[in-house]
Amino acid sequence: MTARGTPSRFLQSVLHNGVGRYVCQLKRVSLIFSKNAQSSLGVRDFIEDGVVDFAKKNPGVVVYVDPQSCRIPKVVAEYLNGNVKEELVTNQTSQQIAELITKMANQSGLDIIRIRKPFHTNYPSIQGQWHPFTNRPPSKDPVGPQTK
Amino acid sequence: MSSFSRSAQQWATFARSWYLIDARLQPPGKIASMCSVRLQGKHKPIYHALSDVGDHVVVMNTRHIAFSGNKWEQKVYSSHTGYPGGFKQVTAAQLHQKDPSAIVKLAIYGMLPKNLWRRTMMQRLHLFPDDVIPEDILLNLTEELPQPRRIPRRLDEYTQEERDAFPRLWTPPADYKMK
Amino acid sequence: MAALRVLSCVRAALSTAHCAATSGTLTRVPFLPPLTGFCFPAARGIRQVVEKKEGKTTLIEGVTVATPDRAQPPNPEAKCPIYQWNLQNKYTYEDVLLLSQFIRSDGGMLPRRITGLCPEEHRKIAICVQMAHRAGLLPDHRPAGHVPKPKTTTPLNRYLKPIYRTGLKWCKNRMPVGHPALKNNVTYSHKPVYIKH
Repeated sequence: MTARGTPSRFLQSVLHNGVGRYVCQLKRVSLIFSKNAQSSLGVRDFIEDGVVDFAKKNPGVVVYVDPQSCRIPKVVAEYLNGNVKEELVTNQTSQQIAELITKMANQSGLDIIRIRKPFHTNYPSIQGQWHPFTNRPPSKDPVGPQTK
Repeated sequence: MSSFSRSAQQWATFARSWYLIDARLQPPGKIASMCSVRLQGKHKPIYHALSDVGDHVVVMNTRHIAFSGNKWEQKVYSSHTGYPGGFKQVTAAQLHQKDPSAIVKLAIYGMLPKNLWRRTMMQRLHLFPDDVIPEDILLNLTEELPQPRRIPRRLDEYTQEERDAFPRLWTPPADYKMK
Repeated sequence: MAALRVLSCVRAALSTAHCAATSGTLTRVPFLPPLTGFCFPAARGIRQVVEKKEGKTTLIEGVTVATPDRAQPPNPEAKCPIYQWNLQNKYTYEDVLLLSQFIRSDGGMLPRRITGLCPEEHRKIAICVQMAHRAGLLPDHRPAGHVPKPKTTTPLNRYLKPIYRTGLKWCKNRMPVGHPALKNNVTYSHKPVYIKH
């Protein structure tokens, strides 16, 4: 099995983000949990401990706390480019959920797929790209047996 | 950035150039090693094993190649037809008499990598027994490669001025009759 | 390459000799007046036999062909001409202008007592002359009654042509193409000289 059939993209960033100014690409986070389910214990802890701190640290992110009657608590992140990411946080501690949300806030929202090359530049060459006539002495003489 | 547009730049970078090699009085192995590098595109800075960047090579005067030693008589080219008793062996002189460009062709074929590109690269090789090259190929040529072996000059190829310019290293005695 | 090297060596020597002659006082007279041609003092030159036929009488005469004044070598104390011109280990079989001075018109070597070569250099020159003959670089130096073979339509080109020995791949006779005596020649490649082909 090769990686050729899988989706891929080139290394890129969103609008030179972080060069000069940084715009957090995370737009909205929804914490979906149950008020009384055992699996949502960690989320409830996180809402008591850390969600206010997170919201204060990231003023550009809207945090929704959404109690529903569900067995599987989720964290849904929406990014500026329209991507929606859903993470299940069943039976996770408050510490783990805090790390997960911080990671989501730091991400750019681009699809996490195979990157074809680990390098990329917008300006491939300053001195000009190579072609067969670079560094070759210019000659207009016809080449062939009749020149001798 | 250069003055090319991006698409023209791409065309320029990956364009195939045509090289000419004169095989007169040259050993076929040295001709073949030059050709094999050019056919694979290994002389280019953009070379990559997965990209097909080989050039065209035109070899002329393959009839006039030179072997050292007694290879014309001792070098043996073997082949098998596939039928019982179909093992053929010919010496270099016999093969050369039959096909004047076969020795160069086999030498280059043996020096190319043994993969699926090999036949494609051989198609970009153009062998001519003499210095008669068709017009359409002649127009494509961009560069003539220098010959790998320097051909020594015969004594009768030096002009009289060059002979006079070379000083006499010794003076014969007066009473010696020169034959 | 080697020929060029030899030529440049010799040219340098020539120029220095010329400078010495012009700067120092002229002790020897370079041009003798033509009247003194009878008593030419110890003129060294080539003698040739000239036959003249006047009616019935045939006049056979040994004529000394005057050689032009030769340039002064850079190292005139040495006896061997190769050492006089500092050419030891600097010539190969390709330097036919050098080799042709040491051979007769039929291609054989001139004797050592005439040329004054030292034994080693005489041997090396003889080897080079043999190799040059085999490579076809001395086409006009043939024995008197030599009749060239009728050529085939496409001659098979060779370089460093060996003595003709037969033998196919499985019973090949490895044959020397150069000579071990020329091993310490000046080379510019890192590869050792491959003598056996």
